[in-house]
Amino acid sequence: MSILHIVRSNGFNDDRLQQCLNLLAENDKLLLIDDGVYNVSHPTCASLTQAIFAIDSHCQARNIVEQGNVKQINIEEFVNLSEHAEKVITWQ
Amino acid sequence: MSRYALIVSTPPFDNKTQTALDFAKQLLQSGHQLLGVFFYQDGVTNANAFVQTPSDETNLLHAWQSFQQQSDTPLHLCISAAERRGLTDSNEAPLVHNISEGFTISGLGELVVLTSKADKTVQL
Amino acid sequence: MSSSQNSATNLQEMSPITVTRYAIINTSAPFDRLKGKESLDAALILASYEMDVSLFFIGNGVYQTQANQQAESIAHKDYLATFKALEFYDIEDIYLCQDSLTERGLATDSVFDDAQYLSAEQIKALLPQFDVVLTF
Repeated sequence: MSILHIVRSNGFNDDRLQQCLNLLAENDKLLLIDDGVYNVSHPTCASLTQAIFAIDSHCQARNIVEQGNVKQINIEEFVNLSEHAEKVITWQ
Repeated sequence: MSRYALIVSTPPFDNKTQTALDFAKQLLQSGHQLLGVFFYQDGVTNANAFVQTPSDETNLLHAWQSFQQQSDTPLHLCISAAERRGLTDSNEAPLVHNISEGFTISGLGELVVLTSKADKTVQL
Repeated sequence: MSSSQNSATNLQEMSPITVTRYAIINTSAPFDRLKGKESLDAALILASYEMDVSLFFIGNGVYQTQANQQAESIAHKDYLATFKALEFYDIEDIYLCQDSLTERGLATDSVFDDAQYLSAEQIKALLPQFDVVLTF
């Protein structure tokens, strides 16, 4: 079982992304939502080996295009990810 | 099927709150049980009946209320966080009751109840 | 208030094996809106219902742990003084991120007598043991 970490702010704006990454374990998952989807092209995300997800509608709203290591998912898949995680931590 | 508790911390004029509502709706559509939504921090301002949303914008207050009516999900308001942000259930002058229909006046004790009973707690 | 009080009564009637392990992670400096104050309020209520509460201070949250802060000089209530009450609520597991302290040029010193100083790696290793993790 793994932890689902949610980041909802831009890593160029505050250090929530960095705090999350500092505590992201190898089997954990990272979900980018709201302004957090800007992090798909943040340099610190590019080198991650963990699974990274971003909400598709939140990307579309900001014209954020697909990035190689980030899987775009819908809200239903967000719920599924939360259910299959051991717990959810939101870096608000 | 899991039992969820949802904590909402963002105000009605922040699009992040729409995300919380979308998540809440999807939980039910996916067959999960949502024990309750707990409005804390700036999230309490979602219950303010005096918030006026321009008619061509999404009215999150109405959206939360219809979600509550349709699903019977309790919307708990942390009253101590709410009072310091201008919400009141008092009509004693100069106060005017401005907590919207559909919200339940609660305290942090309800946060304990919801999160300890739930299989999953999500803070949005 | 009645609904919360009713629910609270029900909780106390439940068997003690339902104790939930909470991690409250503080990531904000003391005067960053009300985050620190409302985090502490939540922690104290959880503990008063006999939940198992651990406090973490990481990132800017470590600023909350520094001694000799004088909130009254900016007309702010000194909510940090309430940290002294944590032991009466049986909140004994208090963890400070050593990496965050070092990064900010702060000494390994705090208002807590018996806080534990952990690296981010050590904090990461602790997270799986909690049922609920809340950040403020």
